[in-house]
Amino acid sequence: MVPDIQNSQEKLARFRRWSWFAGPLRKIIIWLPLTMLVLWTLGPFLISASVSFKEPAHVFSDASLIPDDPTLNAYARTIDRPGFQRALWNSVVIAFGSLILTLVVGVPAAYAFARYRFRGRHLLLMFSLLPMLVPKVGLMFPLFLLAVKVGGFDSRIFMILVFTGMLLPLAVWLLVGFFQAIPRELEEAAAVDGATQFAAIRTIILPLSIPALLTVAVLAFREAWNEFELVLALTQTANSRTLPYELYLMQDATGLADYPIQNAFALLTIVPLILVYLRIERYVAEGLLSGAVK
Amino acid sequence: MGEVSFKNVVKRFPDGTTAVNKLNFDVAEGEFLVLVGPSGCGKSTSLRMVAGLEEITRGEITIDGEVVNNLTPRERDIAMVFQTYALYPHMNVEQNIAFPLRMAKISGDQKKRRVAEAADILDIADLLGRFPRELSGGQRQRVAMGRAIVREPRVFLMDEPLSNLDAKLRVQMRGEISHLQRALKTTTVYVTHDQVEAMTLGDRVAVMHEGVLQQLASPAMLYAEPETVFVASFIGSPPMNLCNAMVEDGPDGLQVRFGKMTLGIDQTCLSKFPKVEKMAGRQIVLGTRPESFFMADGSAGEASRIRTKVDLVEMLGAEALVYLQSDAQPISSASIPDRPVAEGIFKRSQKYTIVARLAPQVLPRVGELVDLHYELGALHFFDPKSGKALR
Repeated sequence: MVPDIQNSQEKLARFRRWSWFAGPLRKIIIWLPLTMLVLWTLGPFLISASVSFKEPAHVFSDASLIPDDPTLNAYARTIDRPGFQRALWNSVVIAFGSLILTLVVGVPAAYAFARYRFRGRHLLLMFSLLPMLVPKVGLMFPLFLLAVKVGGFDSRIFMILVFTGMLLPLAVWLLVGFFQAIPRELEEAAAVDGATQFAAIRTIILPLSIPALLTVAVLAFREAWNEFELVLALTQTANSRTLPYELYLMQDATGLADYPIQNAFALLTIVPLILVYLRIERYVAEGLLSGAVK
Repeated sequence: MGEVSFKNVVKRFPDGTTAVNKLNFDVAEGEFLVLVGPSGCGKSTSLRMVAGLEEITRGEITIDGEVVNNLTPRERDIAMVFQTYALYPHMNVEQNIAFPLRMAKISGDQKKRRVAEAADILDIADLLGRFPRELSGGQRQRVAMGRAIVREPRVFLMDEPLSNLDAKLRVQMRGEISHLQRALKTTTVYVTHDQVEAMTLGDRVAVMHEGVLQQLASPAMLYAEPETVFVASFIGSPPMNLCNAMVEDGPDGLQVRFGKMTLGIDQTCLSKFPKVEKMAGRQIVLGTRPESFFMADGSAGEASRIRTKVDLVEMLGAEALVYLQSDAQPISSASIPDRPVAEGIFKRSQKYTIVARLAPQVLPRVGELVDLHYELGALHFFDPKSGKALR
C-alpha cells in the first residue's frame, strides 16, 4: 500500500508542476477576480462612508479615504431633519406591514398549494408568477389610477397592499417548495397524536419552516424598504414618503450639493437593513433542519 | 376498550385502483393482530383507514362499536407508529413523547410523570434531552413507541415499524414490542411484509393479497392449514412446493400424480380435504412442505415414497435444502385467485424443482437418485381455478 500512495502522490505533484494552475499563476487566477469583486461592491460603499464623515468644505480638498478630521456633523444634521424622521417611521411601518401581510397571506396560500390537489392548482400557481414578469415601471401608472380611484393615494396602507401584492409570488413559490419538502407523515403523526390541522401547522410545519419564513421575511423587508418607483408614483406628502424617496428629494432641496449629508442619509437608510440581515442570518445559518428531515 | 372491526370495507383510489376489497374482520380487545402481505396488497391502506388518514370508500370501520368513518384521527383515540418513525425533528425526545399529552391539554406534573413512565418502560430515560437527529435507528424507534404509549390509547397501529432497522436490531425490537404489548394489553394492529414478524408477533395473522383478505387465523393454523394457494406460498420458509398434479385412482385407492411421481392419498388427508375424493381424474394444485420430506428408510410404505434425482444441495448447517428434479409444472400464487385457469397463465419458473429440507447427517450427492419419504398428512390440495383449499 505504502509505495502505491507515494507513487500517486508523486504523480499528483508532477501534474501540479506541469499544470497551468500551478504556482503563482494559480494564485493570480483565484485572487484577481475576487479582489475586483470586492472593490466593485465595497468601493462605493467605502467612498460614501468616507465622505459622510467629512465637513462639506473638505469633501474635495481632503481626498483621502480616511478623513483627516472626522466628524459626525452630517449624521447629526440628517437625524435632525424632520423629513428623515418621518420617512424613517414610514419606511418602518410600510416594510414591516408588507412583511407581516406577506407572511399572513403567503403561508396559508403556500400550504394549500403544497398539500392539496384542487382544480386549477397548477394554473393558479403559474398565474401567481405573472406579477413578477411585468416590469414595475409598467405598473406605476395603473396603480396610480387605482390609488386615486379607491382613495388610496398617498396612503401607507395602500402601499402595504401594493407591496404585498408584489412580494407574494416569490413568497408563495419559496414556501411551496419548502412545505412540500416536509414529509407528510409528520402531519399525519401529529393528527394521530391528537392535533387539529391548525395545531399541526402551528406546532410542526411553521417551526420547521423557520429558515424559509426568515428568508421570505428578509426578502420582503428589503424589497419594501428599498422600493423607489412605486413610492414615487403613489405618494405626494411627507405623510407616506419612505427613505429612498426622501433621499431623492433631499438632493434637490439642499440646493448646493451637500455630499456629506446625502451620504450620511444614504448610509442611515442602509444600516437598518444590514442590522436586520445580520440578526436573522444567524438563525438561517443554524440550519434547523440539518439531518432532521430525511 | 379497543375492539376494531371492519365491515365490508372498500378503498378505491381516485385513479380507479381498488386497494382494499370488501374487508371483513374483527380485532378483539387486547389482541395483537398482524396484517401481512406483499407490498401493494392493501395492508397499509387498511391500517391508515383505521387511523383516519385515508378515507373509507365503502363499508364501515368501528372502534368499540362506534362507527369512526367520519371521525378525524384526533377523535379516534388511537396511536400510530410510522415506518419512518415521523419524529418531530425540532423537538427533543421529551417534547416528542409529550406531544400527544400537550395536544390533549395535559400539562404540569401529570405530563412529566407520564413521559417519565413511558421513557422508563422503553429504557430511554437518559435520552430525553436529545434531538431525533442525534439518535440511532433503534433509539428513534423507541421514541416513536414512547409517543404511542404515553397517551394510553384504545388501539395501537404500527406500520412496518421495524423495517428501517438492521437485522439484528429488528429481532431484538420484535421481542420488545411483543413484551410491551403483552404488558400493556392494548389492542394492536401491526402491518408488516415480513412473514417471520407476522408469525412471531401475532395472536392472529391476517394475510392479504391484492386487497383481498386471504385468511385470518393463528400463526399455527396459517402454517398447518393454509386456505389459499397464496397463503400456502407466503407462509413458511422455504415456501411450500406447489405444482400441477392429477388425482387418480391407483391400485391402493386414490393417489396424486405430479409429473412422473405419485404419492398416496390416505384417510387423514381425505378427512382434511374431503373434496379431493370427487376430484379423481381432474387437475388440482398439490402443495408439499419442504420440511415434510425425509430420507426414506426401510419402514416407509410405498405410497409415501418418491424417487428422483438431486439437482442441487444447499448446506445451511443445522439443515440442508435439497433441490429435487421434477417434471411437474410449478404453480405460482400470483396467477391463481379469481382468474380463469388456462394453459400458460401460470408463471413457470425456469427449473422444475421441488425443495426438501433434510437433516444434514445423511445427505445425497448432486446427480444421485434418492428415495424420499413424505409425511402424507402434510399434503395440501388446492382448486386450480379458485386457488382455494379443497376442504
